[in-house]
Amino acid sequence: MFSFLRKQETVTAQVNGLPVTIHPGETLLQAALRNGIDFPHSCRVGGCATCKCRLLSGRVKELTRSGYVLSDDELERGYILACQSVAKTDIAVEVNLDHTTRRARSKVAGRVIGQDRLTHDITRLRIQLDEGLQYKAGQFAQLSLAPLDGVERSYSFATPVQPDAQVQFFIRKVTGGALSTLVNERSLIGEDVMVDGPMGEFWLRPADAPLLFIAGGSGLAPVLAVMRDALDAGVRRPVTLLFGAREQRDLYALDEITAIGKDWGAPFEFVPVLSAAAEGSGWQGRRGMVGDYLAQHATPGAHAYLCGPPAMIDACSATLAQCGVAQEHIHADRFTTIWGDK
Amino acid sequence: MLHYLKFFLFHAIGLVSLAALHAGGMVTTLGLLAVLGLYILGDAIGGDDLSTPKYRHPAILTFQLWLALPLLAAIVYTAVVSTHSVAGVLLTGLMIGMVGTITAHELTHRTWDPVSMLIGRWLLAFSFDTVFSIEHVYGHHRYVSTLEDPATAPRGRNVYFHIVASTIKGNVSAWEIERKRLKREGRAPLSPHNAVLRGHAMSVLLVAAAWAIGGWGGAGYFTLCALTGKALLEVVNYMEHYGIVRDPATPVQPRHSWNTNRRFSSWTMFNLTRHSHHHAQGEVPYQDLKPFADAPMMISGYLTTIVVALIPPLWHRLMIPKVIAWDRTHATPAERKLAAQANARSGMKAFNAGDMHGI
Repeated sequence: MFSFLRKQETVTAQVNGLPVTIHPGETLLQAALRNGIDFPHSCRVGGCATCKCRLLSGRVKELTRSGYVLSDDELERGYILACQSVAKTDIAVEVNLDHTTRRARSKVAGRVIGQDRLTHDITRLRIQLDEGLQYKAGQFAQLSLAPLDGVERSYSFATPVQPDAQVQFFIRKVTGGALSTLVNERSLIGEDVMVDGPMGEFWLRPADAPLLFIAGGSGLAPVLAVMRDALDAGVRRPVTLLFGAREQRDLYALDEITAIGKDWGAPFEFVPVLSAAAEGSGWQGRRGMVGDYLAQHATPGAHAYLCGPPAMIDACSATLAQCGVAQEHIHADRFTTIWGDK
Repeated sequence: MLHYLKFFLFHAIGLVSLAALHAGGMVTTLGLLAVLGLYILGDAIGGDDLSTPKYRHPAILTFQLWLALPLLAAIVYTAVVSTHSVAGVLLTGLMIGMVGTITAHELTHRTWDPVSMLIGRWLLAFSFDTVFSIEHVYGHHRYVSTLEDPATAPRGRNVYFHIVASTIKGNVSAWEIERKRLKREGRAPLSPHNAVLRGHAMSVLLVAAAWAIGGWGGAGYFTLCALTGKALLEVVNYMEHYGIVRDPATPVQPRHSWNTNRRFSSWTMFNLTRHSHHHAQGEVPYQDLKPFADAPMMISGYLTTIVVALIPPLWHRLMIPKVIAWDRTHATPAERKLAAQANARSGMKAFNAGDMHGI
């Protein structure tokens, strides 16, 4: 209610030495989870003490009395509840990640609960996990399906971490690919799956620079996850999204992109580019390769995130370099099919 | 615009009840039937609301919640001064539950906002249940769907037994939680720092106010209404987690609550219906709760389900297949083992009819 009285400043928490940015009004737990730290937690309302951690420096405001759930000894030693602590200054905390460090990458069982076609050769698989899996939007996991024993393939999460522990993957059918063919051709509802992750360095780095997203085909999945997550976190950086596909029938998630663009608090430009749209197909948009249009949108100060086939990434990276985008601000996730039909 | 207005439906129903109580006699009975009919029919034909709009002015929604306190005070005052009747007790009890407890539940979760916490505690005082603000957070949210939780109904339990058992165990649990907290802070249990005692004192104050307004008759009548309201909360607890099992060492997931997305119930109960998300993330304000269409689903909207719960044979006939389906489609292998134990303890044949749920 009186949020306007609160100072609208971000502060930083060091969680076991790892820096975590805390947005105004956010609790320590929310910030840590948003940053992909597998911070131990359960009830999230200050009732169970699973998220207890020791405050080493700085000050926090405690939303509930931690005396309800922490012992004398813990209170003496400066323990706080991450889910009930709002940082008032930069802080440093120490948390026992023993049970989680070993499973920074973990295997979680789940079940297929949804399977729907996005295009003629891309299917969205929705999976209900038995318990939550922490990852940063943009990362990927190894997916295996019960009917294909021993076959594991890498796919990017298509959404940020969901509170209902559901995950989604966009799976493009690859000729000869066992898993991708199965997903695109047979009903898998109710089948057991295993998700092993997260992995990958494709996630949004905190900054204020304009964003340039370049996605090809099913490479849109992690880009959607990153944009949705940034929207929820209140990120307000100008965005240009270049989406490369072959024909109009290969475009998908357009409603989702429109919805994100509508809520985005800064300029948002969506540029679909088709490489094989037939003459007379009625396509009014741009034709060619996404790389052909990159120079118009790439400003030297931009931060670029690319996801898709290696050929696209290589061509675009070269163009970005020519446009003056610094190497360290180009983040790419190459969807290779050599060792897996990702 | 509609997204703000829809939650005012709650106040409209409160005002209709207020008018019905004011008129007294047959009109009160008609009012009670109209409110019940409206909910049951509304949920039967209204379908689901799966939207989660973004609100630019959440302060308006918070203010809507605060309005519950003057509204409830007016309803209870009217009930005490108007003609007393069975229908009057039921309607006032229903309003204490709907306008009081449901709103208080939302408000007392807002630990970051002291005004909301205070209003929430006063709303709870109308059903003699200020301990809810302690037990619910430090007991229920921690132990939900396990044997330790007083508010979770195990398989086979009858709703009337649950009303009494959960009320007693909830109060004992709150007292224990508070006693331990005070001990840690080096204070005696019998002191003004005891939130359980302070809370019950608030309820005593309300009874005294009813006495001042309507004498012993007024105090007795209010007490009946308050107990009806409290019983209603326990019926709701009963429905929300009936028969679900969880290993206390694993985090609460959406599958550990019965959810419903019925439009009418959601709009008039500040999305309490979206219970699966509430338990998975208790800190989320009601307008941001997601519908979770894949979560385990209740029989229907809240009031319909309350009526079904009050008829135990019908309840078990409808719920046992749902609980058994839960074991099959939602439970993890570890939970299926707990479920088998719960079935054995239920003492009901229907829960033990063959080992068809996959152990």
